[in-house]
Amino acid sequence: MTESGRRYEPGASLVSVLTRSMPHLAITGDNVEISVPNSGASTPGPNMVGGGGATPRPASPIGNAATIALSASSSMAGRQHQHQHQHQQQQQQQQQQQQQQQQKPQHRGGPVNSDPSATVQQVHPHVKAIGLRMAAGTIVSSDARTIAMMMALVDAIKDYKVPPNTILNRHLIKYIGEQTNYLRQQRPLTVGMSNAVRWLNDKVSKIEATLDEKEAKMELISGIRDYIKERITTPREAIAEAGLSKIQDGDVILTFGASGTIRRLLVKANREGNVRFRVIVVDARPHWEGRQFVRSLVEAGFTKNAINDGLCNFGDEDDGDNCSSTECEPAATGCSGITYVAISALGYVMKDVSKVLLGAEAFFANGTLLGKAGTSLVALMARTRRIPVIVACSTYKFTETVRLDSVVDNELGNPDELVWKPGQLDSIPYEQNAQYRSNVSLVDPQQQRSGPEPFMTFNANQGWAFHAMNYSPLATDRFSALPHINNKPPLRLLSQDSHEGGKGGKVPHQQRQQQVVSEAMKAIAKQNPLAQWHEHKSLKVLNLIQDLTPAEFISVIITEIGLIPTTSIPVVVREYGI
Amino acid sequence: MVRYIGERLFNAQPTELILVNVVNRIIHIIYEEHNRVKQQQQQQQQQQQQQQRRLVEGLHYPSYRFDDHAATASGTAQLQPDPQASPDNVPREEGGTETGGGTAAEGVSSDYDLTAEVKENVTEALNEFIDEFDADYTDSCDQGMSINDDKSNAMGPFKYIHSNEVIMTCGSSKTVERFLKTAAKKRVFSVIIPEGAPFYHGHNMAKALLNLGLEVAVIPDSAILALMSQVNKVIIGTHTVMANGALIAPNGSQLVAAAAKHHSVPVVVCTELYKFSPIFPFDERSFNILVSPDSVLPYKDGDLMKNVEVINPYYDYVGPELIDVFVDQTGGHPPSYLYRLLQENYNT
Repeated sequence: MTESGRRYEPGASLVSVLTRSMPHLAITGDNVEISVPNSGASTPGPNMVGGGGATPRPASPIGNAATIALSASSSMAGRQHQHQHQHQQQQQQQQQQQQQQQQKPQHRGGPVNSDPSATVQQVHPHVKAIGLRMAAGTIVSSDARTIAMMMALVDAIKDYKVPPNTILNRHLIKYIGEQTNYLRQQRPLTVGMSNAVRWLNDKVSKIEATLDEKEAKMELISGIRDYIKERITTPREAIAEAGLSKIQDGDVILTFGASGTIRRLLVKANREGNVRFRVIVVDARPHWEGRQFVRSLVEAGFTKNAINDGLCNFGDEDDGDNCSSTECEPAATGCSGITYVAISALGYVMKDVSKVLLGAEAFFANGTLLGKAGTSLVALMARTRRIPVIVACSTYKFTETVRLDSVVDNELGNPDELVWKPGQLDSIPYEQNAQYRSNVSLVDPQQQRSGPEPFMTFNANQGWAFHAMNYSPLATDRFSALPHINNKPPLRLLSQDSHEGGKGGKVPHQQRQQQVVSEAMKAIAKQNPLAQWHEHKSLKVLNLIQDLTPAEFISVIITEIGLIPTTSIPVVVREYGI
Repeated sequence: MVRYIGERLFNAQPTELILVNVVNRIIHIIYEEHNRVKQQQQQQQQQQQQQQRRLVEGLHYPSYRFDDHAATASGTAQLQPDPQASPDNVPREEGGTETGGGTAAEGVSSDYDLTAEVKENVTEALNEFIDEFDADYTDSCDQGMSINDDKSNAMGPFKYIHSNEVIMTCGSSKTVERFLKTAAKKRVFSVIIPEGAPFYHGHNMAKALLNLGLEVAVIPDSAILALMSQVNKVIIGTHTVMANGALIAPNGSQLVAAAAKHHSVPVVVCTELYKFSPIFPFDERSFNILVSPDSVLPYKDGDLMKNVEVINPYYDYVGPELIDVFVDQTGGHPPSYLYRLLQENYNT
């Protein structure tokens, strides 16, 4: 999960950068719950308001609503959310149109309204929806985010009406600016997204004045759709095609994290390339994005019973007598092997690797690659062993700016994701979880749950109980724990609030609560040594999201225009006129 | 007998090299003591023979140093170090010299007396060896400051950590913890700790370093290279040190060391003498342990596990080219000096 990302300000000392998120807590009645209150009617989908796990500090009233959806991670709740969302969306559209008409006077040639509440009303609900998803970490990949943003802008432009006495060219740019401002508050825009917005603004400003509103909007919408097709989706296919020649029989390919482009390339090579190779997927905390990647590869036909010699030590393949298990037999053609490791095992697996394939978030003009944190480590380890590093990146992610180091302008994620070890909750077997899987509180089964699902409840008999995430019965929906599930709110804040909640002295009931809370804290602190890191001023937790890979680590870049070296990036930027 | 125990221990846990080290050290100590005593006896014999020869041949020969001593110190307990003996033999009080001298005239050493003397010496040496394990690093560090000052080779945390430095460490080694705690007494610095998933030893280290007046930052493993440009020194602990200077260190150490090499950050390895192993690693992976994959891919994703190979090594191999100095209780050594340490302590 990434909260409204905090830019690392240059000039601040490294270890003084800190994000402390304060979830909004509510303690109601006998049940001590950690839940997030429903914020105002402007937020779509009350289902999205779930347990207080690591809410971002609101930079705007919107941020209040950008909470982590525990139950929304399962598909069932997601569908419910969509239904509700559509209802709300229609309501809001009507509201919005009314408001737009009411606010006419303010827009007459004046500066863009920076009042947050006014901004809220101008933001299109589709934009809001994807913004919240980006903040919650549901949409993570840079390509996906760009496509989501552009499609949301298509809808925003569809519903847009030019206020009288304004010119479409100028006003629409402001309107688009408001949408992207909202998205920026949820999560900083990627380089690709910024490029796309700049392209769109450019296109809007060049619309001929002779066109009427409807035609202009149609032109813009079709232009955006073409942009998505030409710059984002088609290049993926082209890259997969171009990269096919790079995967040879017997290759051991290492990749990091989850890149949709790389996935497409690997799947294509497996299916059409007539090669048998092995993939090693390297993953890192706290998001464990590679798990979903591995799952999709497995569904595409990768399995470990293919070529997996060397590391597995199944016995000599020459000595057929010892090989009694089926694992020793090579699988049918078209099947390739797959391995999954954590990034700290990189030193161990690097020995076997023949090529490294990486995905990219952006490329800077000096050839530096901006990627997920850990990409540079993979490239470094490959470089020292003279293993070629191949990066797949579409040209819309190239930029002519330059970044010098990984620290300035980096995005910081929620530090609590690092604090909590994932083992506790995840290792509870499915059956034991059954009692926690209902949406009803343990204490009072008849109590109607109208508010958000509690994250933790206190039962006099059983003590504290965490609510496990809801597992969908459908196998395909059962992903590994998404990172925000592993986030549990710092209990120190819970006890803090119990102080504040007591108006007029401590009630014994609250004292009991505090006692219980402190006991729970002790048990949890044993498992997670950093659980009370807020209390120590000198202890910081830095969750860096991105890092820079220097150009000398990269051998070649696969783009839709072919295979280029890192030195060609400024040329491409100039020629394509991004 | 010691060999037998050593073999049993080794068969139980082949990758625990410290067991091998300790057993070999003990064997070496026994050999050493035995040889020393034997040598002294032989010296005694030689001295006596030479004395007799000189008395016979007259006094025209130039007097050797040890001759004078033998002449003047006949029957005394102390013996100067023989220039032929290995230079690190510490002169010990030899209670048995007299008996050795007594029997030297016969030219045959009494085995019984030899054993008793050797046993005494071995016990003493073993006690010293055991102290090595219990040694409070702070004491040895402080001693190091005063003893080695004249050699201008002061060891210890104060030498390797300056004020306002940013240190990166890896793993939850007790040695490193003590090292940093000692340094914190006089220096103010910051520590960056990668958390070391999937075992999270970084969390334990961070907790241990609280309340020392240091700024501690915990980062995910993936951010190691991103932050290495800000780091001044890397201080890591290790599980074992191989004969070529390579480390078998907690997982993540190779990432840290490789990143440090790229940014030219010095890498300091805090070890103890018993961790130096006389074994060469011919395969990077031979002394590694693969543990349960649950911490990487949890068992609740069981349907994935039958299709995906998950590798979870516990240790990391760090090559000798990535390390700048080994610091142990006797001081700092470069990796190229290891052969010397091994020669002194093992039967090589």
